[in-house]
Amino acid sequence: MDKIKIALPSKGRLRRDMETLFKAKQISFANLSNDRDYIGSIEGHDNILIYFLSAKEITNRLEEGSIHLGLTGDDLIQEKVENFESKVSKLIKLDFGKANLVVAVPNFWIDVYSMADLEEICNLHRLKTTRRLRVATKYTNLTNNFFSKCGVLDYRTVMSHGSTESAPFNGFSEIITDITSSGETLRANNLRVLDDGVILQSSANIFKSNIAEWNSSSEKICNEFIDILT
Amino acid sequence: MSIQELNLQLKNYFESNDFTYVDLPLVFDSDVFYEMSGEILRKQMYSFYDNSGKEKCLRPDLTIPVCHNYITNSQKFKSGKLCYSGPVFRSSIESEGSVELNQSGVEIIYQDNRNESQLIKDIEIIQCALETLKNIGIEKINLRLGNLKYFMNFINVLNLPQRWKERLSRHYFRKDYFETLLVRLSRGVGYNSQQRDKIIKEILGTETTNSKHLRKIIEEKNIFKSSRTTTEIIDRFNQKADMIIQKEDGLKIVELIREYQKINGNIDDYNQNLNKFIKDYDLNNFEDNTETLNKFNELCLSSKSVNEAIFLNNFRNTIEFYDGLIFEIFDTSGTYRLISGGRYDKLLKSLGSDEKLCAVGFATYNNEINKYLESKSNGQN
Repeated sequence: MDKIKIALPSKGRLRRDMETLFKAKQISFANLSNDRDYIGSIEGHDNILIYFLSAKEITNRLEEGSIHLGLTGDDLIQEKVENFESKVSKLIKLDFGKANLVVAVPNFWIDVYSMADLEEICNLHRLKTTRRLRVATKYTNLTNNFFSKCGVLDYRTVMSHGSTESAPFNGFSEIITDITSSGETLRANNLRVLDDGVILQSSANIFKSNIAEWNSSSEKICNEFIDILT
Repeated sequence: MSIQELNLQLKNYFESNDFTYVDLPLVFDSDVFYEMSGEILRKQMYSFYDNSGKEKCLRPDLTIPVCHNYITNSQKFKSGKLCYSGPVFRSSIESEGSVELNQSGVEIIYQDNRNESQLIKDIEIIQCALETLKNIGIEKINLRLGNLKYFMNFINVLNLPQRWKERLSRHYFRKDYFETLLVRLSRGVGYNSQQRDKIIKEILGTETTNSKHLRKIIEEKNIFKSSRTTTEIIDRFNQKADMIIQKEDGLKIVELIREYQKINGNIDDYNQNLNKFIKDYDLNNFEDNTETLNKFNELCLSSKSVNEAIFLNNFRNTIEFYDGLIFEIFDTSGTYRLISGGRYDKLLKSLGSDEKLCAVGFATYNNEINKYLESKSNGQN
């Protein structure tokens, strides 16, 4: 019997929101020995195998095609998957996991509130120091593409693995790009989002891997699952 | 002729004309190219991390390393006439799937930055390019010329804030972003005193208009180890408030820039068309480029190899370090780009030169040249 593999978030807010959605759609998991089990199935659908993974891992699995469907964010897909348009397709945009990837500068930079201002500041910084302005981020690819589109050249990204919002405060960078939903963390750290500094409006989605093996049977199972969810 | 033979022939030709050959490694630190070259070259580079975690790249260009070599070892060179020949590595359409492009070229680095000397060197570099092609059997060519300094002269007569003049000049080579800037300019720029007060209130939560008070507030908030000083922030903030371009004025300026960029054509007619433009729009203080253009025209007329010479106000090159003359040479059908070159005075300072050095140079596209020579021998041209 053909089975399709679907990866769902294993922890955190994304898992809780996913469970709320599944409950509302009367979808129940089966074959789970406990809440922390990483493999299960869906009641009444023996041809669906569920994996519980981190959102980052789901993104990797979609890219390599070892799962058919996965729930993850636009931010991870667009940052981590090269040529993502050809490798994955967005099947359902979900109403949770919403967050923006934004460019934020120290609030007291009262002369800077657009990307054009930032471009000029970067240029002045390089002329003054001969070094490029540092941008702390976990999202180097999305940042580079956006900055390039906005004409900002005289900068360099500094890889951040957590607490990005503290990087300017610690002197590790001058500005940051980071994911934010309410903006509270940024404000608490005296950072301000530029008026046109939204790099990406991200949400949780069900993605289909175009790399995974598909046949008419697995396509049918996939469509049935999507029908239940929508 | 193989590419290697062509590389060698061009190297020998340059050396026989008193250029010193600079032997360069294939692998460089990526940083120097990231710092100096534009976004397009940056995207085309092949880079990797070595065992120590340092980012390296296969050389994507030879001008930057040659100039860098000259600055760091200038005592080794008897003159600033340098040449190179060999492969560069880029992923680009022109390489047709190959990572390797072959280029030979010359750089003339010198100290005299007077306008007359610059013109002499500009003429010299084009003459050298024409002679180089003749030496490998290419007798007839088409020449495309442009000059970023002319654009900057034009921008300088416009009623624009200095910040905007610099911004437009800085992005002249980036066609799409330049267009974005024009759209932005056409909507008006800067803010009036009411908007200024609103920004202060919204961002800092105060209603002060007093500069000293503003300074004190920002100083208190500047608890970051910020590379921007309070003075820099306030000065720029005030500059933006002082220099307002209203929408109507912005639209007029943008129209003028667009019209200027349309002045393209045969070098014989260029001066006449430019003068008409200056007269039509009543532009005062426009720096006269007539003599310079006449010299280029004389060069083209006296050179038997120039089939067609055009001067373009909208000439853009993907290499962003050019800051004066830019030129490209094509075969007479316009199919093969054989040479490109220009002036890049600011590059040497950016690379760390303490002296005020000027530089002009060009590079041959050996893969294109070879294809052209093959097509010629097959009777296609």
